[in-house]
Amino acid sequence: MPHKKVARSLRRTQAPASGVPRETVAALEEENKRLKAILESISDGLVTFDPDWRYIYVNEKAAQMIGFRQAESLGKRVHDLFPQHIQTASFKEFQRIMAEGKPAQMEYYSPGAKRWLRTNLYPGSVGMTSILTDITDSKRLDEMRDEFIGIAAHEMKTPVASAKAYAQVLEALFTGKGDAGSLELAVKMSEQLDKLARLITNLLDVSKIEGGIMQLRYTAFDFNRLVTEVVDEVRPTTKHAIVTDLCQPVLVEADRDRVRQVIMNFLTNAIKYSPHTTKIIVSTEVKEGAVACRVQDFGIGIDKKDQVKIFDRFYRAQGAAQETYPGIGLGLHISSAIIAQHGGTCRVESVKGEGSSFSFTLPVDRAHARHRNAAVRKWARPPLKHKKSV
Amino acid sequence: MNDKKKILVVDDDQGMRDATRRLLEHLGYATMTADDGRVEQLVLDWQPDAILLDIWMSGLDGREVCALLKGKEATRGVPIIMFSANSDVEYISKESGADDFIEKPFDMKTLVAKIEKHTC
Repeated sequence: MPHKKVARSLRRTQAPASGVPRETVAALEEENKRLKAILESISDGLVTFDPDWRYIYVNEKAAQMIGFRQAESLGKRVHDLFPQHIQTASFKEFQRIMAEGKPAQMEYYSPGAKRWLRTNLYPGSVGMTSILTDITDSKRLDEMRDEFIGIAAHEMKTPVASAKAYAQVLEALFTGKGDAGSLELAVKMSEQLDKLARLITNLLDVSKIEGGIMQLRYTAFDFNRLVTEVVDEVRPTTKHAIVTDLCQPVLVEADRDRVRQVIMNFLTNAIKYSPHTTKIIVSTEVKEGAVACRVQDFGIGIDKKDQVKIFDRFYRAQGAAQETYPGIGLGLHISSAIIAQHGGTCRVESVKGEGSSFSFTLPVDRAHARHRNAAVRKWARPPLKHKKSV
Repeated sequence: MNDKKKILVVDDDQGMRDATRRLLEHLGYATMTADDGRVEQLVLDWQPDAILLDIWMSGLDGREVCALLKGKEATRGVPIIMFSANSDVEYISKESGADDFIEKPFDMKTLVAKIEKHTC
């Protein structure tokens, strides 16, 4: 009899096939349930892929965010469940992160769930784990803020634009009458209105930068052509001789308007801060996967100690005799933010009293820029279509 | 016969419309103004040499007006210069199929250069 009792006890405690004690199996199952309950209770989505892009684990929240059923995904490859996503930029970014094996963060739009998602990606020996947060509501708020800033800029600039047009009518009338005194006043009024318009634009740009809502609209364009356009636009407005030394045509993928703004800022600064000289050199070159644009003047220059602050908000340069120059010190700060968002860098080299050379680089390969700037990148989206209410 | 070039100014802002009209007339252009985007018939009747078209307008938006005029055989050939205080005016004008753009506030010389470029 004792033998039979022992045998029954053994049958209860041993898994016949594996030879693992039944208590151990039960304990593991219990532990598994507990882990699963923990993973299911978090409000973020959690997905783990194996190195072959098979779903190893998907919690219910992630399934809702991505737009599929939890049970249907386990063991299946991304390629089978979402063949249409394999060629997308976001999936290629996932592949790059898994291959590089370094944690990263990115934001992307999930077409399945019609939601904006932020994902923290943790590649490891089992494959890669993704922690997903639904950021659709915050994206909507960003859009509303962006739209508000756009409307505010428009509404503030419109009366300035009307006043500027009236000032130019006066300029033309006084010119016709040969009234030099009144003409001078009209010209000054027109210049002040230009300053006011620039100030409005700059302040609103800064609020976009500070709020992290400056959106870039990437297009491919010939970089040198843009530089030439800006130089041609500025030439008739200055006594300075602007000499260009451009490299071979180079195609870049960037926000053309924003890059134009940076070149214009560098060039107008060069003019403003070289009141006693007349030469400016604008050059471009391609080096180490980036195109560089340099604007060199022979003006007042900047002290070595001040050069580190030159791209800070509200920094202003001073001349040798402490003379001041118009502006509130936002242009370079905005330029620097625009270039940083493209994955490039801004630099200054200067000798006090001899002149300054401002340059910026833009990655020629946009994938490179995306890689360097993945943590803060805002994905391009179509412009908001605004209509005034009637 | 009057051989002045004819410019249609479409803008829902009264001040902008009036100032631009006065400026253009002083520069020797004939002008007509419209305060909203319902200008198709006016374009057909008056046959302007160019249209200065605002973007953000109540009612018919500048983009829609541009698409409408560029989409019809009878009005397609009239150059459209979009003008706006919106800093995205270059992108919007290209996307809408306009011939050119100018950002407000604009410089008189730039305005004339753009008009002349498209009406010579």
